Amino acid sequence: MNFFINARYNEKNSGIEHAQIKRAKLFRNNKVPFKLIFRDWNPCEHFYLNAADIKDDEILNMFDFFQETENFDHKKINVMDIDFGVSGLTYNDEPDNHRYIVMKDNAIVARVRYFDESISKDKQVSAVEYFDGFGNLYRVDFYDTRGFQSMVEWYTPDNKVATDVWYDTKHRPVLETYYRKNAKGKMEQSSWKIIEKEGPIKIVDNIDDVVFEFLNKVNDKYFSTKEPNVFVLDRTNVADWMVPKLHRPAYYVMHLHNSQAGDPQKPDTSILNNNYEFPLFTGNDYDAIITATEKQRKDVIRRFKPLAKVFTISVGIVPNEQFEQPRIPMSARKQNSILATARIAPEKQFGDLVSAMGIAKKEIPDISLDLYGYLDHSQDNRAKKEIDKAIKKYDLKDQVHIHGYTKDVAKIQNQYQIYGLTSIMEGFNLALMEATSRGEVGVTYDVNYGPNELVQNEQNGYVVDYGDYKALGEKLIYLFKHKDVLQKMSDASYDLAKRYSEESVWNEWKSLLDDAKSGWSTKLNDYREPIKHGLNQMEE
Amino acid sequence: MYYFVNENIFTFNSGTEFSAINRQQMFKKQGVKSKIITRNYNSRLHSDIKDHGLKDEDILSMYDFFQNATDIKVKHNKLRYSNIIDKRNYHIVFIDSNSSLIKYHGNTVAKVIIAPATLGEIGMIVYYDRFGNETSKDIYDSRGFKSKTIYFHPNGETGHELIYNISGEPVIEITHMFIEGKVFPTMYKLINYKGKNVRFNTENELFTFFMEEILSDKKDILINDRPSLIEAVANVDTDCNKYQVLHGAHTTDANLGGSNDGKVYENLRPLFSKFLNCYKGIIVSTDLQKHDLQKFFNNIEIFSISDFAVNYIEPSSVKNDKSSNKEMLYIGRLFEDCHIEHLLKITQFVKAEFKDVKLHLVGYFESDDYSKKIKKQIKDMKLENNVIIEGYKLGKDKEKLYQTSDVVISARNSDALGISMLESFSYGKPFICYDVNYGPREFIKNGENGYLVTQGKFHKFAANIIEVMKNSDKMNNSDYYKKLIDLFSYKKVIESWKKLV
Repeated sequence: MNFFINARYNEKNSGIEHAQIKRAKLFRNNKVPFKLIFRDWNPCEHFYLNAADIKDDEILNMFDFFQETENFDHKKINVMDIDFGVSGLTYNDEPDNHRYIVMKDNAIVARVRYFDESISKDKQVSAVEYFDGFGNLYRVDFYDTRGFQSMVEWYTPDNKVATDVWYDTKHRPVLETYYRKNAKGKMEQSSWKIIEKEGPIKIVDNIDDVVFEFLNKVNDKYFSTKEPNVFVLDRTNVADWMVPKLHRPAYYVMHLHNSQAGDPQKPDTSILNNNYEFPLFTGNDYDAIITATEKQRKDVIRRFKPLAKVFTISVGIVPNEQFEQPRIPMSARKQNSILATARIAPEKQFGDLVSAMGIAKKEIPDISLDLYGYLDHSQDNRAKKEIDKAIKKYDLKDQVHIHGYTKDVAKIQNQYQIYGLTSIMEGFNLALMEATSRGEVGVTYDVNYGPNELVQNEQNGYVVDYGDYKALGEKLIYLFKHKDVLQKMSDASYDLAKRYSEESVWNEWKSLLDDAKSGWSTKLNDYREPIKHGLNQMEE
Repeated sequence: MYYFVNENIFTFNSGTEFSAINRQQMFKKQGVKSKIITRNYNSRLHSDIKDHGLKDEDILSMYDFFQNATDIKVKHNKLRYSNIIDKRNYHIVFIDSNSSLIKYHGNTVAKVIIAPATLGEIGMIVYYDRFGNETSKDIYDSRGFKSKTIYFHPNGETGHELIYNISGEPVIEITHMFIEGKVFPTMYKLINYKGKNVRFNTENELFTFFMEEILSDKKDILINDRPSLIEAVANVDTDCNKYQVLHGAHTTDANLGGSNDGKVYENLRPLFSKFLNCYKGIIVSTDLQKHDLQKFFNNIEIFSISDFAVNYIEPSSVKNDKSSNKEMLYIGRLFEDCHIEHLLKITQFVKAEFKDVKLHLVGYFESDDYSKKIKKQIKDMKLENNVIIEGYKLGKDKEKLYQTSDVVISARNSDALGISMLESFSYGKPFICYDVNYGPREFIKNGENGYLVTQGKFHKFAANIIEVMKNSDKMNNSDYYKKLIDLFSYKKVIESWKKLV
């Protein structure tokens, strides 16, 4: 079985989760089993993943695993389904607070919260706050969107959480954590208890140890002598110290979703990206390392000389049906238009892109730029301020348009001619891949990793020196003045997208999976099962 | 079916439990259907009752009932064989025969307490966090399954408790929160009982519900042995008759039981006021007490039925060799209100006559403090060679102590009947005690089967003992005791019980 390890999945996610979802569908289409592993407890996780067309059976949340609720039959729990053990209750709905107040005569019995309309229009219960007969709030039950009591917070008399308990569907406690004061007097999680159905009770210090128990159980459950379990660490910090320490052998994969170098312009000497420091120091414990681009693969091999095999596997995938759609010629798109879709954040340096456009404006008066993405207000609105400064300098007020985040990226990408990118660094840049695969011509700084590979210089766009926005401006002028070159490069963009077709990317994965299989018998030979005989029937 | 309502059968029991146990055994022998029912949680119940001569079918504990664990065979759950500890990752470190530590990577994560009087059976597991706090505790039933988990509040007080059926599913949840700023149990909740949750504010409310659940026939009878359960039994919504048994005097000064100056015990007041109409009758052990009570309460039926039944036991040959040893026996609670200090002083006086006289103290101490106090006193009074602290004894051990004694004594201020008095008669031994209500006054005849001594007259008490010891034949007439005991025979006592319906 193939496992992709991550921490969490929410309503809004980052590139790593998007890449995982695309990969999941690729595996599904190729009928190779997989599960997306998430560590964090999240009662809405299945809801959000289902919305991304991931099926329950493809999700393996750690808490679900202990609770045996991975494939729970969805049901809707409403306030009347909650059994308070008290008769003659009154229920007062408070729609503004998304809750019911449940009373017995004049005493409060419970507050029942329900999910807001973005999740359910049926006032499905999300949490129940229970009061005892003396008016104490003593526990709060949290419900999963699938309709079961998932976690219970037990309160102290002075209204602090003392214990969190996760139950299975028969209400048996299976996992617990306790809150106690540390030496400094601050409450923190002080211990975890795992209660296994077969009997064993395990006490561990922290959630990392719980993950270790969990991954061992997963590895045991899916263990096969035919092929190894493959663990792809998409978020390395969830489990990096557990590599390669699971009790039974497995095939461990480090996935570099970002530059391994803190300064990607200096891949050979820069301090390491903090997320990859531990994994790279222990890099020889892995069986494989995945980079998203060939350039990154070469940099990793040159600098670290790892013993693990390094595979380039694209994180972006262009779906088959997209290749069947008619190509849209440059003439059918908005003339002299530039698009960028990204978080409007300082590291994206959109001020540079606007400046390049300003330079081009002298020759192309009707040039325009549309930005789609969340506005990042960090560093005192630096991103927006830089954009505004460039707009003012080049008088682009009516030609630069900042839009919010859009979900309908495909439609937009078909309307523009050039995709511009001036970031400090990238791990791959799914947006650029999607734009070029829809025929846009890329114009980008030479940054690691992704842009300088997605855009092949002079084939489907231009890669200019990092920071040289003037050169970028010149390329814009050239392209908009030479419509034949623009069209030719657009054709090349469509053609080069084949690098990221389902078939191409699957072949990359297949070579990794083949490697895992081919080395499996050797790994198995080195492994010894623990003693099983003579340990259970002893005399005094 | 007769239900004998009690709090518990403990490891160490007092007269109230002995009386109930005795009654249960008598009913069973006489073929009358009955059971002791208990309110308290007791993970050792089934082991404790066996020590007291009862079988599983003689008792129905409330928790067993809701745990669906009334009829469970004993299964071994020895620490060393148990699958609770994953021995590939955790070490079991032996401390002593009572406990072991569980270590993970060198850190202590749990402590296993071995069940008392067993070889390595898990009784309890206490779990620790990485700061060394106790976080929770699992209690194992003596029959070998995990029965309850207690979770602690961060300050160490009990937080909440879960009680399981044998499949490990919680059936009762107990919450401990504030009542006027102090932590008490604030809720007892049945989980999924007959498909529903049911919430109670107190354990007694749950107990009332339990009794309503088990009563199935109009002819069922509730016999309450415990003053603390007067309200719980009174509240049972049923057509069945309820009776309250008094195992002691009803006034703080027993001798004022029939006087207007008598002060009724606090815990009995609800019985004589608010809940009097809920009961069909009150059962006392003596005609004397019945007479006293009836003076004040002519609107309720009062029955006099012995709270203990005995059969005559032929003397063994042990004592017949006429060894020169003089032996005194006290058997009962070793509590301050039983005046153990008086017995020591009396022994000192007897010692003047019989240097090697022995006083055997049989029973369990009220507290460690009280035990230390008595032991110190024994030392100070130089009675180390004369007073033997035997501890809690049952069965053959107890029998042997009766057989070898010359006289059985007590310095208590009152007794409803006096189990040790009856037992001493059943072994043909005289009984010397204070001249108090009710049992002693009604049944002791000076010079025939013992002596009644004015309270606090130690010299006189000792003189009576010495007299008995010197004239051992005088009060050793087995025919006399046989006749006396006949009043308390199983056959006689059961007849009185049958009249209740």
